[in-house]
Amino acid sequence: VSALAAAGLAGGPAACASLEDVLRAERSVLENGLVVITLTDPGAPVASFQVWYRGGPRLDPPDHTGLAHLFEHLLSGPAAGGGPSPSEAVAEAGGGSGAYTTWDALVFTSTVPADALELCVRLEAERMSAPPLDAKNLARERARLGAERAAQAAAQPLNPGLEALIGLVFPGHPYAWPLFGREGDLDSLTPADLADYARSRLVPDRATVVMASSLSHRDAVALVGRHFGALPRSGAALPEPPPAGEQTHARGVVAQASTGVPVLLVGYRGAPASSPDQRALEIAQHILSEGSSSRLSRRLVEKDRAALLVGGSSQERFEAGLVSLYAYARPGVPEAGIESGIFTEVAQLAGAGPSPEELVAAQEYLEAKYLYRLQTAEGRAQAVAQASVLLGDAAGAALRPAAWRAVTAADVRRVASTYFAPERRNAVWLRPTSAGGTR
Amino acid sequence: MRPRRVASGALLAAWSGLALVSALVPALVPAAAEARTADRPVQKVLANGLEVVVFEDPRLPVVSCRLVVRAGSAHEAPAQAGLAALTARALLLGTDTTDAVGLRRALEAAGAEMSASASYDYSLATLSAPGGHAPRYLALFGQVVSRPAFPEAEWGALRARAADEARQAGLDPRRAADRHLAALLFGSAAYGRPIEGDAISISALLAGDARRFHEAFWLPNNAILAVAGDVRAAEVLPLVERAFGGWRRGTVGPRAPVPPAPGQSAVRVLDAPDVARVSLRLGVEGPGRSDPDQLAAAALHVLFGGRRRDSRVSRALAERGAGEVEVATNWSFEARAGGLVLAAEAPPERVRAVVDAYREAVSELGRAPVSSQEMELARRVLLGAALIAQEPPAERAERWLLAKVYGQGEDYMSTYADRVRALEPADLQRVARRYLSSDSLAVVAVGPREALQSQLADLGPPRVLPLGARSGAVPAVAIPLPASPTRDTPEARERGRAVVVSALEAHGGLAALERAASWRASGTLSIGLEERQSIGPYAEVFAWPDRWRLEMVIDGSPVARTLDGETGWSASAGSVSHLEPETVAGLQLTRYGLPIVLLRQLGSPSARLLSVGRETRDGRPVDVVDWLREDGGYTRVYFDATSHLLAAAEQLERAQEGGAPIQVLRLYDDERPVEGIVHPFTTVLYARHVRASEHRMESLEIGVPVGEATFRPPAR
Repeated sequence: VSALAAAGLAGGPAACASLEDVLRAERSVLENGLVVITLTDPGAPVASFQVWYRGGPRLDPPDHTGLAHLFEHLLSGPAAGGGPSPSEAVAEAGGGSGAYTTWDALVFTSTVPADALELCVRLEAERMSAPPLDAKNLARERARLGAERAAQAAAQPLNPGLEALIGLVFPGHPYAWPLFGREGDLDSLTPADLADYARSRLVPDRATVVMASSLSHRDAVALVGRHFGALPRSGAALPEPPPAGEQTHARGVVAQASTGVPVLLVGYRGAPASSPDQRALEIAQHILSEGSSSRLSRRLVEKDRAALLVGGSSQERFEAGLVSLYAYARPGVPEAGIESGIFTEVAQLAGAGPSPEELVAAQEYLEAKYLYRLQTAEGRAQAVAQASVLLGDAAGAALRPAAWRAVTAADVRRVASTYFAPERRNAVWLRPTSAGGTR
Repeated sequence: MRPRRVASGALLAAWSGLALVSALVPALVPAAAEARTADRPVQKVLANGLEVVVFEDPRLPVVSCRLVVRAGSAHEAPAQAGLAALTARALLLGTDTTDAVGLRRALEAAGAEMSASASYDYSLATLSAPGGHAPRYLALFGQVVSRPAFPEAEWGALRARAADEARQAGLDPRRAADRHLAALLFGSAAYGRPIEGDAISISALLAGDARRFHEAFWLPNNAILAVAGDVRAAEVLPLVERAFGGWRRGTVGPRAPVPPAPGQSAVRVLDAPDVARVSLRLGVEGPGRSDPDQLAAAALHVLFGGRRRDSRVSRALAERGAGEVEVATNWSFEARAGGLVLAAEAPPERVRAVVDAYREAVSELGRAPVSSQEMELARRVLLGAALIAQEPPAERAERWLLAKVYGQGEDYMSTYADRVRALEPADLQRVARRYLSSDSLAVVAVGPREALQSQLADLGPPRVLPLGARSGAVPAVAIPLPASPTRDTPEARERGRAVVVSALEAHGGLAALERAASWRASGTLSIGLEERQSIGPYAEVFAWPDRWRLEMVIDGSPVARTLDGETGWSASAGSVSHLEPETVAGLQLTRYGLPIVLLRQLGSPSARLLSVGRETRDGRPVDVVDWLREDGGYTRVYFDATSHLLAAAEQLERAQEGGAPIQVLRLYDDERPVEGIVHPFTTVLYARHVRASEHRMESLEIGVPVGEATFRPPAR
């Protein structure tokens, strides 16, 4: 915002509202434990309503991994009694809806014209109070999950490598489980198991609802209370998973995949989402692997010509994030050059830190991408929900750009040398399943 | 793993096909309902004719630009299908002052985003940038759209990527179904051709073609620019003037002529024996964007099909017990025409039920007219979709621009809600009567042909093609031929030998090539032109110098042909026949098209080689050498001047059907190292100027033992 003013593009009455205004979240908790967070935008013609069931796969029972994701499917199907699914009902009101599972939450979203907001609230309350968990639905959605898993495996050849990588980074922890669950874990489920799961997790005291609309906080809470207020809390605490043990030596495996060329995936366990280190790690990952300006691209793609493509990601997770880097090997080039190239660049960042230009570019890049997301009610609601569920404070959504800007070169150097230490390194080499003369 | 998003309705999430159906026209709901801010943008026309509109929206420090050029794939020559789309993509290959990498880095430096694409009737370039960096990025955006470089080297890579994407699309059942349906509805007119072109048309596009397309259509007097977001018009217009004022106006090129659409029912089956579910498309032509009935057609679509379980089509389907069928419709609108498309994924035995459900739903509209409840539902869905779609300022700006480009008027957005509310059931009935007829229904089904032919036979004689076949909407491409052999001079011989020595080194060296006494290869072979096409697996075994067995599947039938020195045989449909001597001689010649054979022949000390000189072929410099063969003929060979790798070879060969020899050109691509030899994995063959086949090698094993029995004919 300050940069904007400096450019003389805004100012006076038409000046940009501050991010604190756009993301000014207000929070209440109903008696049954339901957290209600609102963003008020007077006159907004579009509203977004989201329900985040906190915990998600992280709190799945160890003998039934993949349950959170199965619930995403079950709760997206026809309503109990065979009525239209929530998404069909929302579509008939002129809106759109979705569902997804992260490592720490199961999420349902609806975006509608403002006058259909109450419908969304009612549908979500019904979804929480009367989930369709009969044997027929279970069989249908389990079959669909199988098909989805097969389709994803075909469409995303890196998946086997990513699954192997999280297994190395988070051994013994739910973060190591595939989103679809371990092979066979869902096969023995019965409707009674589903009912148990719903009683402990699909409850107001494990949920956060976020509403971005024209309603005041008071009116929004009243609306939510009318539909959710009578739902009973669970009261039962879910057992927290044991923390993943400290990593003391580098780990590596080789896996097969239909990637066409060998691919190296490197992963490091990051910081908890609420830690300031997480923002510095995002900047470090950006400098290493984001775009053609990144260090890995300049070295492996341009200078050494050892890789066809490089990239990476920094995933925010409640307990500990995941920083991953990858490189697609150029056919005929020794794989050792890829490994040494990545680890040399990581070590150099840990040793000398970023240049001032790199740091500013990363900060501005991350902020820009974040701002683009905030142009819709759904994006704003998601940002606030994510901050509330992962950081423990909805206000964190507005402070995120400032948190990136507060990161110093010394911070980046420190987190790179700490989190990317050689003994914390995890590597997966993906070898193409059909040789095809590529190696 | 990233969060998985599920779009509205599980059906939509499951279907990539629907996205492509939408691509017939990108926006179902073209304009805004009741926008909250800045419905009346500030407008200005620059001296060069560029119309500029500014939408002020200060809620977030983000500035977005949308530049619409009034030319898309409808403005390219039919044989150059894909040119508008590739021209747009190539804008990001750099400008006269910034190369592609420099451009990417400039964007990455502050998280700005730029894109360019084409539709049927327009092309679109977009920019999003943090507000504080708007001056810098506006200037860069101006450069990209007005002064693109279309660099030859990067063009080749972009084109190869685009051709590969198009090839994959042709093999994807859902996308192939969409493409063939468009061809049935609109023939070889623009809306019948894929916007992105097909692999064959894309492969023939040159950087010069893009340059000419840009010069003819990407002109300020043929474009409108919208700037939206955290700007004030008074401040941003001078920046726009600075960034775009130097863009020179010109004479806008013509729109390609529009051949008449077929306008009759037709059935096409794409044979895909192994798919578990058939991709089915039923379509009729509908109104274009400027047709007064367009809005009523959009409303009719909501209740007729849409993506709802309770639509007319879904109910008719449920009555037939087709529980395992996923079905939805989409009605798309281009400038001059549109199409209602019903898309279904169904078990093979349920295909007929879908067709009957569609017909029943059409018939029911006559017996049970649109009810007031259905009308209200349609209004709600249209208004809601428009409101949500235009939430980001840039989307609102884009819809405003498109309404203008489509000639719908500047008040289209501000009056949209009123016009939707004014729709009555009678309007929808009128549209239903006008367009929804079973008489001109186009049908495409992708699945096992035996099951499909019997179910669709009474709709008209189905035309059966293999999955991957071209749709017929894009004409064949002609390739220029070389002149006669060059003069034999000592300089030409010396230069020819030098070129070949470099080439042999680039391919791994003559020693490695000579060690390759045998090899096995397999992959995919596509044969044929528009009317007769076959795509299937092939496998070949070769033993030096002249034993060669080739097996392939043509139109679903396995065929084998073997050269065994001075003899040979072929086998198909259970019968085996020896080859005539002329055919054996023809195969002897054809084997020079195999890269290892050709390179070894060229590497022979006795080979007579003459340099023709350096040429530019397909946008890249090539060294050309004529190999004067001992049989009296010659083979013209092209080597990439930079990599020295084999790029193409051209010679006269014997036609299978006899008659005069034909000029055959082979283009080699996708080189990969195998056993020390750098070998092309793709060979495209042009016969008599026309693309005839393509080998895409998937596996190559060099030096594997080959038994004698391999080349013996099977027992009769």
